[in-house]
Amino acid sequence: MSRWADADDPSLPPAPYTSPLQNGRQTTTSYSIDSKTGQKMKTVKTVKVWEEVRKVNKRVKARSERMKRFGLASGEEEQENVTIQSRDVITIEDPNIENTGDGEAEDPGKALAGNLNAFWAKQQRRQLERKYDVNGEPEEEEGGEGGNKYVPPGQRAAGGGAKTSGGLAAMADKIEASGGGDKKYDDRDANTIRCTNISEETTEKDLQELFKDFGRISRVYLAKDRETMQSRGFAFISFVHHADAQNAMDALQGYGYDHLILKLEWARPSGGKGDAGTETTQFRSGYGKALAQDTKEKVSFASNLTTNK
Amino acid sequence: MRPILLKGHERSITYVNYNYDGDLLFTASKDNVPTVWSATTGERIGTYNGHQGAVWDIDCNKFSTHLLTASADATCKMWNVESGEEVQTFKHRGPVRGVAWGEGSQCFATISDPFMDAVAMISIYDCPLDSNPETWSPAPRLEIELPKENAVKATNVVFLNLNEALFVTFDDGSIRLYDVVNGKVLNMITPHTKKIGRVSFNREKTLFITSSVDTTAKLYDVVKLEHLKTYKTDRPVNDAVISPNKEHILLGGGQDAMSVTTTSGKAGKFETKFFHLVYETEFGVVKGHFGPINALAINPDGRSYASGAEDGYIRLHFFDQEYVNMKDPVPDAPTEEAN
Repeated sequence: MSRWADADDPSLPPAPYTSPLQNGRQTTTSYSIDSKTGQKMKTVKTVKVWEEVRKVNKRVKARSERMKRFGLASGEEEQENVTIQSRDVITIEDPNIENTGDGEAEDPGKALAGNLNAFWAKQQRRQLERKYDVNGEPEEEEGGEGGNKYVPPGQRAAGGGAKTSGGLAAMADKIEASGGGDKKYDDRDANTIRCTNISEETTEKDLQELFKDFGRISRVYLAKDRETMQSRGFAFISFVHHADAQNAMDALQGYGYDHLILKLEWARPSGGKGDAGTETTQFRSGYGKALAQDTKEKVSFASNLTTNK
Repeated sequence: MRPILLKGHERSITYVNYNYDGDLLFTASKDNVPTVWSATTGERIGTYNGHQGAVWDIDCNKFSTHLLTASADATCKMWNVESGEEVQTFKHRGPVRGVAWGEGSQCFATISDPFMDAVAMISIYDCPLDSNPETWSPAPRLEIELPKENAVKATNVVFLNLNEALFVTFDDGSIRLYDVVNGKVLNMITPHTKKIGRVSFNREKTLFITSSVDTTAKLYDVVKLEHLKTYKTDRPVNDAVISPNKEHILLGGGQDAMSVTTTSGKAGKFETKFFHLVYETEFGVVKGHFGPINALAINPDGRSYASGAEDGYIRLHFFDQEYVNMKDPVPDAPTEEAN
């Protein structure tokens, strides 16, 4: 036990073993001990061996043997930087794929066809949604507090009375609901995503396009600067159904849109005042833009003075 | 594919071509050193040192023994391909734009630009390779003066019909065939409205393709000089080649070198375009250069191609197996396209 040779594991084969060539394949088996875990590792490497016959033109072969470097190429040390294997893999790309993105605008016919397609797709989706809503809403109503919910006119007619009166009643209900309790707002907040880090060029329409695939959107609000009407880089997207909102949240979290990475979070319940926070900061601070404007004016005055002098 | 970048030249590439066997790649650039590379490894084999000006054209004879270079220093030089030694210098009166071996490598033709009071000229020299170069006549066998009043410049020269005719392209978009004995114009066509940059033939010299600044390349029949196909692009075409083993056309071009810096890099259009020879449809694009492509050459075995650009790089591409095995897609019927 004390002898150092005993410390070696006797079960470890001393050398890697290479099998003879069989069906053009050769297997090499080697053993080693992982330095971290101390576990015995067996590595089996199968190598395919084949002979490749490459025919070379006699003239070419003779020339390649004859030719020696000359001119600038004879300096060996220079060779290193002259011939370089490109690091990027370059493929033959299909130009027609590219064109579908940019080409639409160029070719009016194609653009029209594209628009038409989009139109039909929208129509179909609307129909499906209508179906979905007709089937889906009552189920939700069963879930609780059905009275406060908006009921589509088609449903109402079945519920009671004439269509018009039903509609009005529902309207009244809705007004009551929105005025009376904050519950309605809370519901909406629960389905609302606050999306930040949007690029300035993004419009509400773009956002609608981006989010519409996840489900029916009830509202898209893009925060804009009051004076410049430029996007402030965040928006609220309200979905009709919470599940859709959740899906959108999962899918688009960290999504690269317009060179920026979107950040999504649930809109904080703001006590009935949607996103009034932005407005309050504007009024309350008194610095920020107001200050900037003032200084601007002053500067212009000053410059006037100097020019007059 | 991972192209090999050849960085031997210090200025923009003017001409790239393989030898007949496809093992050597010759390149010319606006620096004064034509270079030969291994077409298989991209290794620089040698440079032909001696010119004083930009080198516009190169032609290697069929057995790859002698090389002709046309330079803006108003000389055309003949070199020993394998040793890089200069065999003979042929002085001209203006910058030499193009040079071409005759079949059998016993004579060659050059085209030169007007310079000072010298007019543009087509010259034919005799150079029996089996005799001592000292005994060759330094003066051309035939000189064809190009009329000064039109101010046209020849851009390419090629021997045709077993050295019976000289095929010359011009910067007004025309092509003329000259008789090599008396210098008379045998035939003339005008395929393009603007300058014909390059013309290249298929291996059998039955078809040729012209590339022009008017953004098109046109395929012609050599015997009848009949227009066959037009390949339209959105950029000036600097060079176009016919694939030897596929019915494909490779097109290279890009904006004018002058306007590169004034337009956005995105719209550079510095790709090599792949067109189908018959259907005239573009089916592939290879990117990589950051300057307009001035010269293209496809290996006679059809498995690799080289492109040289204004950026001074030559990129040697070896086609993927995918491309080699590719079956050409047949485009949709035209009725569908109309919709």
